[in-house]
Amino acid sequence: MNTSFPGISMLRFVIISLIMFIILAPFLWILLASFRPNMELVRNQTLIPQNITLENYVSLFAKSAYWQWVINSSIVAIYTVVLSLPLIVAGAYSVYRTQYRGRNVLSLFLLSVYIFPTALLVVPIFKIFTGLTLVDSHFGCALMNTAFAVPFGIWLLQAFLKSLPPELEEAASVDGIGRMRTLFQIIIPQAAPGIIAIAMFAFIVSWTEYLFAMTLLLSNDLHTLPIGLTGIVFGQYRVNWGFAAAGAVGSALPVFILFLIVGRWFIRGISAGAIK
Amino acid sequence: MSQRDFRSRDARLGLYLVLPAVMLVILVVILPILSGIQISFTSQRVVGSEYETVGLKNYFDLFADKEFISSLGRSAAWVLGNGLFQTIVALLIALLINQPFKGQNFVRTWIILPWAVPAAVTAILWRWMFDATSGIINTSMMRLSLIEKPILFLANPEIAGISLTFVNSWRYVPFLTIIFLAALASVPEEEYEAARVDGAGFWLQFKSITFPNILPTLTVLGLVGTLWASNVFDIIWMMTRGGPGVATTTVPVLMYDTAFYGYNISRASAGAIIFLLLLVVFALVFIFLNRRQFIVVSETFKDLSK
Repeated sequence: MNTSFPGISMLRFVIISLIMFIILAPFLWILLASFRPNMELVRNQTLIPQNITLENYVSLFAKSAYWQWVINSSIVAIYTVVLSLPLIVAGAYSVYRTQYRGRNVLSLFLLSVYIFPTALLVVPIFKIFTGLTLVDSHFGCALMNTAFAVPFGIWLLQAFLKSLPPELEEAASVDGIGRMRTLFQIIIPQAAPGIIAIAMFAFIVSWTEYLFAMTLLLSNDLHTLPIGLTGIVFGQYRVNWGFAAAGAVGSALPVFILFLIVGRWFIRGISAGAIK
Repeated sequence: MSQRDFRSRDARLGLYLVLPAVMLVILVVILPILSGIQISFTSQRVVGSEYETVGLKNYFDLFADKEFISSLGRSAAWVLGNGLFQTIVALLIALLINQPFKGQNFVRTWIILPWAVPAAVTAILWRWMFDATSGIINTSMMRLSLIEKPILFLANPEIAGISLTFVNSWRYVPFLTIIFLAALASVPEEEYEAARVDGAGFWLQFKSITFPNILPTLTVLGLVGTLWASNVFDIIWMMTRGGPGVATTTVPVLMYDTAFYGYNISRASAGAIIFLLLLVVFALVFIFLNRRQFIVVSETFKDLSK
């Protein structure tokens, strides 16, 4: 689908730039705010900060439990990724590369997780998890995140798995290699970009999760970044915007670094090729 | 190995591999729903307190409760404004970005940043942008004399729902866009080439090649995106707590409030079950209408054992 009019491609470029501006400008604006003294924030501001200060970051890094929250969030995220990856790879291989009756119903059953009104059913979850001693545990929290990362993760892998030629298994079968070994030695290495994308997906599902962490992690020293951040920002009567801005930057930064390293793999891993 | 042997071994392997995921879903989805149904038939106020069985009383109470009925209406509006609108906008943006241009790789990587940061960050960003006295949107529009008084994006009950829809879309549209982009990239280029040779224009190419190829993706996102939108809680809770008044109180917000601030978990559970049933009906109708798109097409191993 090529458009050959220069006017149209110019217009397209302007619209795309506008969209990217709406998406990225708030991040730049909050970054600037995080270096302004709180006094400057409540008065009318100029585009460029008048006085640059690190006080907001000093309060975040030294006077709040920021580092503890980062560690807790990372623990939950790592558990989530480690639990999700095998479930997603095995599930996706099952749904998209083996044949059995009920496969379609099963894949729909998995997607039906998202019918579940999470905010409304945290009470029964809390009850069940109390019985399993999974309340107040990072692992319990990760288990919830995993359950909500796996079904869509399986679906995200479909394009990649379908793009692998069936000859891979055929050849292996002719050589007498079992299906499990085929999966581990041939399919998984081939599907590496897809697996990186799925790991990113599971990581972000966990990193951004709020409700389960808020309900299941009772002790302060187990709180994750979103819980700690909302507590200090929205718990006060008046929001200290400079501090809130530093907190927002501090919570977005790990994701930003992740994207710098592996960001461009995400779309490659969820498409059936063609993207370089 | 005979074809039948191979088939049954293939089937067994497939079932074993998917079993752990299915069991996890049963543990964290099916069991809580059953437990929620049980709680909804009782008079329990908080977790662990004493209670008696009251049958359908909570359900009758809810249907007589104007606040609950109007929250259902707000949820319906929210789902239309978010689920439906977001899917369409995301598809349009994806079509726009799909063709090569300078900076395409940058856009493909960074467009999903809003989806990748915690909702707490989103709430801080936009509450700060929307602020009446020091928010950039109001101050710059005032300076340009576009408006005389600041717009109360979150405090005006008539605007708050729209502002939240915008913020929630800012968060999810980029993610949906990337998934559409991936689907568009998977359309075989040969099909377009053949169509161009035949002299097919832009619209014909879209109608006869692009659209059929991305229809399965569109269907799944239509379903899952609607379900995601209906259950949005964190962004509403952090930005308005359902306010001003009850202007942005959707069913999840109202029931969460009922359970944890109104100390009435049995009533909240009943509300949850009603909401769940409505979503199940929606999902079943949606799946039935689009049943062809949900069939996993794979003929890959038909001839494997020959």
